[in-house]
Amino acid sequence: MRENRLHRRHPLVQFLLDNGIYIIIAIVMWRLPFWLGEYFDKPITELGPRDVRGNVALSWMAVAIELYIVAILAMSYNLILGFGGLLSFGHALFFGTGVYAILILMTQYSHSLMLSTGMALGLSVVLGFMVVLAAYRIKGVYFAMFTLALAQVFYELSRVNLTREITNGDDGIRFIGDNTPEIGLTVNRLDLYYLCAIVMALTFVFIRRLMNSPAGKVILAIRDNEERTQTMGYNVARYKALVILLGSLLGTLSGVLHALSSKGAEPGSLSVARTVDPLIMTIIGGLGTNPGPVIGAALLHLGEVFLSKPDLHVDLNFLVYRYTAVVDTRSEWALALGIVFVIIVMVIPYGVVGQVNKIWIQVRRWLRKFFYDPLIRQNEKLATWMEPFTGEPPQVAIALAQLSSTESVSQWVFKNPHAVLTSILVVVPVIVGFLQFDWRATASTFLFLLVIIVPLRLILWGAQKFGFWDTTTAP
Amino acid sequence: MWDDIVEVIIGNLLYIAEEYTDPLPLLVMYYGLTTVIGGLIISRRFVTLRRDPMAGSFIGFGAALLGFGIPGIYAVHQLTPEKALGLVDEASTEDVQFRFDTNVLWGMGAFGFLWILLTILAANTEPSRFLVVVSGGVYRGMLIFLVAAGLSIIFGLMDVLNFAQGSLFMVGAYVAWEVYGELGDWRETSLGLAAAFLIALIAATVVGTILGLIMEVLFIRPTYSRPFFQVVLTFGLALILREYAISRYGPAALFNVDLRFPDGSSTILTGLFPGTSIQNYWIFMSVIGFIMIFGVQYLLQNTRIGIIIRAGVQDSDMVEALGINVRLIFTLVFALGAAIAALGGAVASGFLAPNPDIGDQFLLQAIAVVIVGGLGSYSGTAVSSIVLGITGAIASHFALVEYSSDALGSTSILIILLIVLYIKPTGLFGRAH
Amino acid sequence: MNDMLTVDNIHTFIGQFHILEGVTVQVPHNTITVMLGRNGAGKTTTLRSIMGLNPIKQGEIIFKDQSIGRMRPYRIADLGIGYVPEHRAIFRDLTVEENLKIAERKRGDFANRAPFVFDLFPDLKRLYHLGGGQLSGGQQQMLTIARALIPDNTLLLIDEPSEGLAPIIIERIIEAIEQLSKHETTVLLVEQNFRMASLLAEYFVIVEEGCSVASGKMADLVNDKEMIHRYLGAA
Repeated sequence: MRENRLHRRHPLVQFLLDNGIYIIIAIVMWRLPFWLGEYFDKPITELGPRDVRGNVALSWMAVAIELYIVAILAMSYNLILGFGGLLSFGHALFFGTGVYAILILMTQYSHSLMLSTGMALGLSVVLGFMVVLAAYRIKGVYFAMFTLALAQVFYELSRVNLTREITNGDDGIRFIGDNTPEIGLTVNRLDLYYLCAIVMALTFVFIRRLMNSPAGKVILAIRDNEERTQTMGYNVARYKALVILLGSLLGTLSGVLHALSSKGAEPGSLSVARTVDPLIMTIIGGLGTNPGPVIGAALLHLGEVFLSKPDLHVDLNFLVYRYTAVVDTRSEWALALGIVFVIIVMVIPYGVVGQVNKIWIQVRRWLRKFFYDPLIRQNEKLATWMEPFTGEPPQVAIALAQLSSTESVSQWVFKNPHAVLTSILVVVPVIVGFLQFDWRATASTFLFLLVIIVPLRLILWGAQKFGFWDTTTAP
Repeated sequence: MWDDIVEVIIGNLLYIAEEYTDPLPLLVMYYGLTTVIGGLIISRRFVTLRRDPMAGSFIGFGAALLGFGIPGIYAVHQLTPEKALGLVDEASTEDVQFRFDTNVLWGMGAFGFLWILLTILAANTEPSRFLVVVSGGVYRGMLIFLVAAGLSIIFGLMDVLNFAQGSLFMVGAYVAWEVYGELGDWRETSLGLAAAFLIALIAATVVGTILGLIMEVLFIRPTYSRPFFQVVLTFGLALILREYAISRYGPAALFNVDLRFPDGSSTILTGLFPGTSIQNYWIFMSVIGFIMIFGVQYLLQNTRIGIIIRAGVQDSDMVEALGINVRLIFTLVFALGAAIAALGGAVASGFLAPNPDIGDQFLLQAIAVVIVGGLGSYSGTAVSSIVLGITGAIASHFALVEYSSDALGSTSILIILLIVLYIKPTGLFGRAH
Repeated sequence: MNDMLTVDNIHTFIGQFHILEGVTVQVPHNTITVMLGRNGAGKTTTLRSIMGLNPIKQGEIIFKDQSIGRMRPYRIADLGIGYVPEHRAIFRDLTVEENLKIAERKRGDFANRAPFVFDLFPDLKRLYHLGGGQLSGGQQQMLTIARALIPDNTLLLIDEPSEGLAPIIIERIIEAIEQLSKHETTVLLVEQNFRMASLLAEYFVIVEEGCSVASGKMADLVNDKEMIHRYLGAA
């Protein structure tokens, strides 16, 4: 689609359009601990002044940390299921491997964190190879059952008496007292928060780049038609191995982070629930999409945190006078989740992201048909305002692209007065906001500039219309 | 650990070789040989049995129990007329190659494996303990089978791996518990108690059937073109049923259905063999299980709908082209599978306290049994649930004795599943397609 | 309308692939019509579309003055159309007896037709209790045809009966199809073996790249060397 454009967008503009939302999210992730600290400092919450490590802020930070960890798990699962097309029900194995390996190696063998992590990843490669070997021979539902059984064997082995010396049965292992390694990560939540945030961001970027690379295209081709890809001369086995091993490594990595954040390992980290969670997250968010698993993880995890409180007071005062519904969501949350899950699978099988994409494409087609095409015939100017919605290159972007190749800046300014004004409107508030680090500064600057620039543009437009300013001729 | 296991096995073999004076292992070995070899002979004789891994070995086992032995079976082989070959025309004997279907060989292999395990067990335990372990294994196998039967038929015919099967088992248990509780007054007389339990079983089966119909029509039917989402969907349905049970009955286990009189005295179901350590309910459960095995086997082999189901497993398009409404058959089969699972749950509620996880405990083992048995092979499922049930019981027993560890039963079943999948990805009696 | 079956300009998709792009076939009463064409031309898909197994998107299929284009396969079969699929698709896990009995449309069909079927294929009587998987290729092919004869079918769709069989068995199948035609059964045959087709058929249709490109009397085609060469290669 992008190749068919008459005008190519400036690479920077294209980059911002593609990644702007991720940059914003990254900034939010960066500032979140400080916002939490600030917010809970305020006396109106009646919680008393607390610093970042205060209880309430800390509990919300723990929520964020856990969210990043399950997001990594969901992304790694999506790599195998959504992109690789391999129905695996044994992802808990990799997660649990990470959790147990860290705890066992650090408490019983007193290895350092880095060495333990390395050994955990090595172990997950070994286990991953078992799955890879199975994937060569075993297909479809049989493969799903193989992985499920494999994970379940380890789950059961982690609980029985036979392995009590290593795994301590149902009680699990914990970092207690002298066992607790003297590393900042288990002590300082802020460090752990940034570690998890960075690992999650890197995982996201890595998977996104991988799937946009030629290797990623082959992986998708194998998912869609294995025989054909094989006939085309690609080594299907190698790509399958790549997908499974990467998925297992990332799954183990999220297990390692979970071990550090929860400071303990228990059989639950190997149980089927640890496979079902990323499965549901991936499906609700959007199977085989990049942001899907993250969105699913956020929806599910935050939903659980917000909705499984004992009583949720749904404030309907704005609708009905003095009406507050009290819903006991704790027991109904999982049931509601199941129902929502089934409805999503039935109605929007490709999840939130898939559906939004579908609707967006439809809306754009619709806008283009009923608004853009008639408009562009009548009034080019109005069409320009519609451009962000119809997918055409904005006039501003074209002008910016020309800026890089123009000879004199003054000439360019004369030719593109609208672009200059619009750029000021967008750029200046952002810069001001960054300098003061306050979104209110951005907003007020924007409003201030809007008041000045909109009349200016109207005057300009009138001048052009009635021939006082001919932009085609340079001074 | 592995050294220990190898040592135990070798030690056992040596023990059997040296201490042949102990009659129990020898007896077990005799039964094993009779079952396997007799089964092969019988299958060779009767052409119609040659493709069925179950019938031959059961006949062999029956012959062994009756004291025929291998000579007896050979005599049967010699004395039966040529007609028993199942051929209309004698002249065509040369058309039929005397070659076993691989299914029968795999089936005999599975039984051989089972009898080797039994012999090892017999050589290591008291005779009374031996019986307890074996009957416990049969009971375990039957529990697994009752979940697996529906799974196997549904999986075979419709290619749907129904994860909700375990939940239907759970629903059956709860429904039986509720209905039996409602009819608490009837428990004064033995007739009333039996009637109450029977009504509970019927109610559970009916509820299971209705649930199965609803699930097929509303959820499974619209998603046939998207098999992956179908699997995920049954997962979601299982989640809903489980959470509904939790919100209605709470996460903890209830009490099991009490089949004694209100004053605590035993009925025939609880006190058939007083004084032994074999649970009487195990025997009841096993009887129900065997009735289901042979009942469904009869349905599949000898009725028109059974023929249609078996044909549909292979090629449902062609069955439809013969003028049969396959979708209706699919719905019926799904309901049948659900009904068997619910009935299983209801029967089990007399021994196991209903709890939200009662079905999922057996679901994974049931899936293992279905896959080891092979896609679409009902008798494969029956054979492998007995074999794996007893294997699990023996593994649990040895784990308890040697390592004072528990819960190795289902682990050993899963390990067998992993090994079988590596060796023969289509299962023992399944065909690649 | 004189024809028993009229396939009028049908379009069929399998997945997203446009397989049939306008196939027209006319099968007159009580004749044998053969559909010719190269591999992958869409002959089998045409038969499956008539049966409703690959539903059509456009066009019309009329059987005995009744439109069957949008019916479910089992209803189409109920009208009296028998389908003999390619690759000898018998039910391998069923015995010969069960393979024949499953084709009963109403109770007693099998008992009524058994003498006729066993007369046509005496081999099957001997193999009555054997499993379908234990039969040889020729026997399986006979069973496939026999299965379509059990109910009262007035039209048979037969897909490549000679595929992969020894010449002597092909002779027997030719004989059987000829006999059928004498018993007032109409046949639409798909055949690669041109010799067999020319022996049996009265009419022909040539399918090329999902379109029907020629049709007419078989006698004309046999003499039209140029057309044979163009559409069927050096057959």
